Amino acid sequence: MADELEPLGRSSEMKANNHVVIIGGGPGGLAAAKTLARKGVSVTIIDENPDLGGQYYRRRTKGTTELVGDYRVDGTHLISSVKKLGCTILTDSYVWGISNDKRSLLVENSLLGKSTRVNFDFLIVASGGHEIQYPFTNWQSTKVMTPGMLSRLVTVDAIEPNGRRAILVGSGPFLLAVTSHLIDSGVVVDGVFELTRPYRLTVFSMLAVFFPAKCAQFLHYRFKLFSNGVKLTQGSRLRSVQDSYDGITATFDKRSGGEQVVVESQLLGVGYGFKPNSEVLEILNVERGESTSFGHFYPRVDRYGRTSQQNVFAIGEVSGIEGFKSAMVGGVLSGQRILRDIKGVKGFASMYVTLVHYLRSIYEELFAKFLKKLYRIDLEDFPLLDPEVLLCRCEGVYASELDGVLSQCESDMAYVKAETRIGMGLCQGRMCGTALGIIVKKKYPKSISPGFSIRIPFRPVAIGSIIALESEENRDYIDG
Amino acid sequence: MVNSDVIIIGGGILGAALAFELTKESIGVQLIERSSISREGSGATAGNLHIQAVHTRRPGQVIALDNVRLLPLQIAASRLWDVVEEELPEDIELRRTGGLTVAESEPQGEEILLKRRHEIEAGIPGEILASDEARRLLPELGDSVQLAEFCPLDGYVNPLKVTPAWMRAAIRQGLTLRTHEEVLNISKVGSSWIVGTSNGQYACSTLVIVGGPWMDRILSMVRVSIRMNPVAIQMHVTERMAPRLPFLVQHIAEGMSIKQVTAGQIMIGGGWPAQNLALGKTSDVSVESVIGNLSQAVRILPFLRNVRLLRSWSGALGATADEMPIIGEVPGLEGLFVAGGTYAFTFAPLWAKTLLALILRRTPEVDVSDLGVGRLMNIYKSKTSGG
Repeated sequence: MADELEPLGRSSEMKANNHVVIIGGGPGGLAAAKTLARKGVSVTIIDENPDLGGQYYRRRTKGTTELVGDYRVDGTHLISSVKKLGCTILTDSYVWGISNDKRSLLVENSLLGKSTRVNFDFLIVASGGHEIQYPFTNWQSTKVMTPGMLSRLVTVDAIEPNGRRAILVGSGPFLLAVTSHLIDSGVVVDGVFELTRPYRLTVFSMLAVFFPAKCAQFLHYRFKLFSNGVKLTQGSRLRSVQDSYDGITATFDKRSGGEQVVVESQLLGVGYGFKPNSEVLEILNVERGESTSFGHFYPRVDRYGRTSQQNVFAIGEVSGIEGFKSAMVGGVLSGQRILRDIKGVKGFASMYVTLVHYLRSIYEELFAKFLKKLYRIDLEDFPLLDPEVLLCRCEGVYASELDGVLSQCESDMAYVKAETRIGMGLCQGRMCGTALGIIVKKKYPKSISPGFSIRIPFRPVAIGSIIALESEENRDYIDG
Repeated sequence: MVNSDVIIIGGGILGAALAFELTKESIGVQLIERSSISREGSGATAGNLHIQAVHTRRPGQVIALDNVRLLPLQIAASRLWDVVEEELPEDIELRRTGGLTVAESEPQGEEILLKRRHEIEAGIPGEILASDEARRLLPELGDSVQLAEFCPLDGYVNPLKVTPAWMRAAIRQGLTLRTHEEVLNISKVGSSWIVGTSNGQYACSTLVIVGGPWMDRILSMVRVSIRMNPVAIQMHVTERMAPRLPFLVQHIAEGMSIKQVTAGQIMIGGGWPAQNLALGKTSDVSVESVIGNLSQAVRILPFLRNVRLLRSWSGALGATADEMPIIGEVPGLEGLFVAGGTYAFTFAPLWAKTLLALILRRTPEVDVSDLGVGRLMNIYKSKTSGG
């Protein structure tokens, strides 16, 4: 680890070389790194996980690989080619803030318990997103997790989940992909419950005409569900989960009818799509793009992922486009754009690569927009919380405590926070922030995108780690 | 138009405390607040009750405050806080933990000894502790501490609780609270003040401006300009932990205050500056101030090194040009009062009582004649001069 950190000391040298820092070592970040590093640009990749790969190309541990083989081999190739190109790789490293001059990232290495400044001339934010939760009665049960976690358990970790049955709840195409993974691993899926109503015949026809390849993939998932007897229910709202001796009982409200559906299973995966990990972009004050019903922060970007700040790019999930393929397309495009900025690289091959990816990115964006419309969640889709629902898990705040506060807050979430302590705990509103935003917006439909403001550190950091920056800063001043 | 005896502009701690005192006397009060109550400095503050003499400069503060002048006010405020706790039905988490002020060098030690002499004159209890005595009291103290003073009256109040509690009590006594209404203009018709807001017009015979850093902006509506020096300062809070720090710990020469609050979190402040002052928005927290404030905190209390920082935030401080409090009637404008300036949180119950006395033309319990508005007025523009 120490060896990998060492190049940071050469910060001034990097500056002269137009140093590119990439946050996130997933498919997008890797594609960008490869594009840049093969042309000799100095690249640093920062990733909070022990190895590169992100969510999609997450690496198996050595032991698991020996036992069951490699996982997603194309990811293994991509990662090793990036490593061979000599990129500086900071794994187990988390960006928790940005310097006052907005030219360096404050990065903690969680193994060393020490923070360091990473200077950048160009920044590519490929930090992905995290799954959105909406509370329900007893959502704190240990048998409730996110679809991503369920999927990871059975694929990357090759673990047989505790119990061999599961229900999937939420919204988005990701639910179908996870269901498919679970079925492949021998898990019996007791039902898939989609909040919206996307699966209609007209949709299929449009998909078949405009996105035939994507349609084939979808039909593949649908067929797998069908042939394994997995029932797909649309328009149902999860109301509560009860723990039983060896499993759970989930209760759903039917939106139209009103009769309740009760399903028994052993595990429940629930997630309503992804919230972008946009802290860095927000604190850099890049301009906001289109607003969404959830009030997520998506930056305004051009085709290359360039934000309103010339040297800051955003690609993949954090720019609002789902899927590893489009993230990789975005990675190549942002890389090409930066190459043109710093080296003026033209050349036929480079232009060809740019053109191909440019067209591909138009296609991916069209599809992403199609999906967004298809799975569009209206805030009315979410039920009002029962009073006994635990809303903020860190500080132990129940939905009943919102009574009175909500009617006085005038959509000011900071006021709700101050009155109730919602979002003041360890996760800093990461879990409950989106849910509270939904609740507030249901109450004040005209309000603009409520959300907690971004504070440093983005995640808790030991004070000793932070003050390690003091001496380093002095050194920088002396050098500079 | 809605009439009342008094209109208060500003829904922070001073507005809430004053509304409570006035309504207790059955005086009709309307309080107008631009956003929600307690959303600016009153909600962002550390909530310390500073009874022993304070250090005289925040980091970056140019003009030192006169800490000896504040002593009689601090002891008076201290007595009133005990009454506040009894009067309010809600728990405001007032804790008289006692406070330590530490010195790390000989000149700093001299400063503590000097301020102790002034405190004795003012009747403030306290005790000088040599380094070994200080460490016996608080074994967590770092090696650099050479001398300390302990004052049993120092403590804190939960700022998120006290202003809403005062406000709710005032509402029960008849206060009309108008939040999310911005004051747009103020005029005087005969002996009445007319306040125009985004929602309507209200009249009163007495107008009180307790708008913190917005004070000069509101005063400019009556063509008064005062010399203010508002700044945004920042606070830091850690994760929760088991009780480890029983006292408020401060530094004699540097801006620093550290305490463990009832929730178990440790609050670290001291008036370190944020990157900018963005009134009405969120001022950006300065990373350099985070590092500076936390470094000194670890020097004085080394165990903090292993505690995780959870959050940092900024808040606006309505400091005056001479860094001293401001309280009184605006010269030449009968029935217009202001209050604010430094240490307004500690002084809140005292300023409420003092304003009540001034409004009712009684003699206040503490002399504040030298803290009036006149000393800070730039230009007094008469209505006829037009600008």
